[in-house]
Amino acid sequence: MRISYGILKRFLPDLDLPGEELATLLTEQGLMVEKIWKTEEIFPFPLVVATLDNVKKGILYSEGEVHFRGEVWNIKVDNWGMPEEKSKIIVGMEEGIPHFLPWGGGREEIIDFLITVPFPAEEGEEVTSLLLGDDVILDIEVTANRGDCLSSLGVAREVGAKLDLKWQIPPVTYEEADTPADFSLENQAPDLCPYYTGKHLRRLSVRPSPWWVVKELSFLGLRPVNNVVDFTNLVMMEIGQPLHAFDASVIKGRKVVVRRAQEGEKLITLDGIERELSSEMLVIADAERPIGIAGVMGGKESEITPFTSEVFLEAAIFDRVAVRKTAKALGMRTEASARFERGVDPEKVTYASRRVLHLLGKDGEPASGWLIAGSPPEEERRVSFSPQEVEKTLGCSVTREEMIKILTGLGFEIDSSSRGETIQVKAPSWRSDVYLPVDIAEEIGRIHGYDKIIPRLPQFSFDPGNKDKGILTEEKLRRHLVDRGLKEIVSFPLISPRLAELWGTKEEQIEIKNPLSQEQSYLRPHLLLSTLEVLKINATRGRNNWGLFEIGKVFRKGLNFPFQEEKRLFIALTGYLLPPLWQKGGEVDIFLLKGLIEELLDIAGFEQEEICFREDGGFGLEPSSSFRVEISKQEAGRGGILSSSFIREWGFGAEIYVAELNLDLLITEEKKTFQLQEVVTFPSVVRDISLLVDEATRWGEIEEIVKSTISRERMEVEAVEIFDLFQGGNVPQGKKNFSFRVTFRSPERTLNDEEVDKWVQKIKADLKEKEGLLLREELVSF
Amino acid sequence: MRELEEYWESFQEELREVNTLSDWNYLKGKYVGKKSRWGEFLSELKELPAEEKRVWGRKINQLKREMEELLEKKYQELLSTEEKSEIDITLPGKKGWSGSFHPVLLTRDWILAIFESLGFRIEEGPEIETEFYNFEALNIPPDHPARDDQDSFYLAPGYLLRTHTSPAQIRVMEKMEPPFKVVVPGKCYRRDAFDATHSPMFHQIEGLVVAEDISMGDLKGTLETFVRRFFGEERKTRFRPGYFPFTEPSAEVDVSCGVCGGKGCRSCGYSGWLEILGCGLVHPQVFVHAGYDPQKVRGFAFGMGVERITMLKFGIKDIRWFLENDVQFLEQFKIF
Ligand SMILES: [Zn+2]
Repeated sequence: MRISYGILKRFLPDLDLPGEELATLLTEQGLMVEKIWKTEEIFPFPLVVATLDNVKKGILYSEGEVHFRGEVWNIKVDNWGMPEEKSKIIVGMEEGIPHFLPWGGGREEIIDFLITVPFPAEEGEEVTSLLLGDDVILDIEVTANRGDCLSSLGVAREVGAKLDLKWQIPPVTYEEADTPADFSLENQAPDLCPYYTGKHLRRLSVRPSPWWVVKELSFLGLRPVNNVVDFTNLVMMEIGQPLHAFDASVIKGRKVVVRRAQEGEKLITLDGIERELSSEMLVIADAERPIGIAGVMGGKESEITPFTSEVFLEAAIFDRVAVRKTAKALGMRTEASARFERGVDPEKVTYASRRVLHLLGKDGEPASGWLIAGSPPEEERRVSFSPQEVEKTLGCSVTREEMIKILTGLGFEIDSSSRGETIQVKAPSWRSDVYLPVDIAEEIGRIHGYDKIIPRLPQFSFDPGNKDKGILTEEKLRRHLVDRGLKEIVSFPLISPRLAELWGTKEEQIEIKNPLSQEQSYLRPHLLLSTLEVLKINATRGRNNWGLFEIGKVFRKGLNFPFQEEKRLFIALTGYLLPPLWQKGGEVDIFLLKGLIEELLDIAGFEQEEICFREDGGFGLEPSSSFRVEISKQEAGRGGILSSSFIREWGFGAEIYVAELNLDLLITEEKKTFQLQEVVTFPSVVRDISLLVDEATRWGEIEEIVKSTISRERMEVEAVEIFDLFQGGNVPQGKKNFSFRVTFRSPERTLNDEEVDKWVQKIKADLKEKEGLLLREELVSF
Repeated sequence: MRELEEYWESFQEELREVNTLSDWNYLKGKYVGKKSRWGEFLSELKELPAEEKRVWGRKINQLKREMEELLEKKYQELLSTEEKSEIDITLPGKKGWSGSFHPVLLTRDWILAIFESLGFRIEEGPEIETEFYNFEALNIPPDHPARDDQDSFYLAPGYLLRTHTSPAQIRVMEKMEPPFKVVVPGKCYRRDAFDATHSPMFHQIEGLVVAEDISMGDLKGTLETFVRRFFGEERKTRFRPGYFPFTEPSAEVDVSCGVCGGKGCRSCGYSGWLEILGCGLVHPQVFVHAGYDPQKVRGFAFGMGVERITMLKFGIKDIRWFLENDVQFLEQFKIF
């Protein structure tokens, strides 16, 4: 919200602080100044004096000539807004191009009105500084609890409290006619409108506002319309009470009714849009139909026009929640609704009306008396607080006297009977946000200054304990993957229905009821679905060699709690592991992926025996080149080559290896306790065995035979490692060659060749049992 | 000065013996490096009569220059006669991929590490929340204007994606016994369309300290320590009043702009300050919702947006780069 220094001084005549310092003061008090405007930024062109001549009045509009330093511009102005011939008018000059204030510049456009120079001036004169003065405009961010500061008066009170200056409200005078209003008022919804006042004005002269009003509204970012509308707006900006002026002549039955709308009732609002109303909305109506949406916006038909001759001026209090709901439902947040939903000062309602009457002066004749329904709600908020507690809350010392001074300055009334431990205060009518002792502490702290709070570190002992197992494991896995050269990514978890459907039925998945767009309307059930976009961006930008990983949650509908979230780890690899292309053999393959997973499971604390990899398909994986990982027979994840359909659809140029692990499972699974292994220092004996097997035979089968022989015969074996695998060449059709190495080592003694050879014979004998297996009798020993 | 002649002769003699680069290096150190005697000769010069001083002075300079020239010549000679190597070490090394942490998570970890060192415990909370935890328990009833700033994604009546990490305050209070200090990192979601500074998904870190005696002073001290450690000693902190329904008193914390040092520039909107987090003392009503007696405990809470802090820290201009995950962007964020 904008405030002008000039208007502020109307409420705080003794204010004498440079604009910059005022901005700092407000910010440090909780009214954050976002921007300081200079007047030239709002009126960006030099303002000059021009003469109006040859005015010809038409039926729809008047034509005239504007003379300026020998130049002549022809203009069209709405009849009501065309000043008398020979008037001196204000023109904004942009390098020879005239802007006819307040609006318009285009030649063919019909200007609403022209503004005359408010003092004697010569044509051709530049009067920018005379017109604008040295005002400063501050753009303030007002927090949701401080509706009272959505006004110059409210800001003035804040500044006054800090600087110890008296604030004042401009006096108002106006004359009433003898005749009372010939209107009646009926409030059918006192629950949503506790207080409604109306003033009837006759003999209205609707005319352009004088320059000072145009200037001030422009400073505040409001558009000048005509004197009646402008004064109600100006007073709202000054006092914070929204007002509305209805053209009284269109109010049917000379009756104003405050009521709930009927379901489906329609109203065209001031902005020209037809609104369909619901029975929860409060409207101002006449005998027949709504003429305004209470606290939000008036109706188009009752708008004040140049032809309006009588006005019904409304000042009321509407229920905050009701206004908020209505404004939200209709998608129209207005200056008025913003103030009502934060609460207005019940004690300034009629003052605001009277100030409009005062400003209108002879331009309208108020009927005698007021139309009133209800009364200003009187919620007396008394708060007792202990000054000692306030000091304990703030963490700095403030004297009792200063506390009282601050609160008095902010408009709190101190109960004179307050003695000793506690002070009782009555909160001012405009501070509905204050009702607890901590609220008082904040008020005192704000004005005393947060900069005076003495910083210290909390003075108690707390043992944070060991890091949560899950958090710790996640940390270790991330660090390992980064050490291995993978890059961590964060993908966007909301996906399109089309992608979601690839994974499963809609029934299993979580749909966002109010998405920003269809493309982001499902929560990812699988990390691959959200990472595809990332893979694509990198592929299209020609980034061909990378390893990526993400730890994030996937979501699914659940049984007990309606929604389930599960932490997963996703890995994607493509291209070369080692960048130098001049050295071959660095390509990513499925065994790199498998190895990475084995490393991760090792870090997570699982024994090799618990882990099992099985050939299996999986979501998004090429069925013939993918696997499942099990930990103690429980599925822990899947991986493999990204399916060719994804590759095709997403336009990836190369194979991508992906895997996804269930992190929650890795964390909750019981892990073996640590057992120290003796370091064996006796020498090892190594034997290589080569064999031919049927093409379909998998290494795991051979390994199992070897391992079972080893354990049955209680052999002293350290490792069984495959070191060669090939087909073709001198290997017969339909067969393949496995070569593996067995390392024998005893923890107690040096093994001799004879016993090792015996063991090797036993292993071979068992292997020979397998159908289709042939030993290659070339043994290499070391 | 006689020694100068000897020095020159011994240099020439030794130079002839030089066959390897290491010999050469030794010689260079001895005759033109720190171990050389030129300083000695120059200081002797001072004691000579003016006339001689000039002659010897010129001589010293000439010999020194000549020595340097001869050394350079020898170096080139050695290079050309060096034995041909078996390897071409100019070929690229087998350097592995360079891994990196996501900048937002790197920043998150960094922030968490600071709070851990201050004795905080790390906790986590769910991303799908109930309205009770996300709003009501935090003193944000339906139709509270504060809900406008946190437009949420609903999954079903009463269920939504958390709009901030603050619901973790309630969950932590339900789970733990005071006194305690915790920080809770996590993803949050709001119905904000993507632009340079907004994303519908972002990360926050929530902090909560509850004990018998906690004041705004504890809050200020803790957060000032954090700012100094994270942004650097030279950066200033400003506490100013703010508003959050779940804290009272509330404050916003600004850090002085690192670009202009607080004078005001484009990156700080000419204010000299950058807003980094919101905080305050736990509102008594929040304690009531969490089952605590507000007469017996006090606490402070804070919440910060990790993306924003990451952008400030690394000078990143667009929040969308974080979700784009271009590897060229990512690989810059190594372990620090
Ligand atoms: Zn700056």
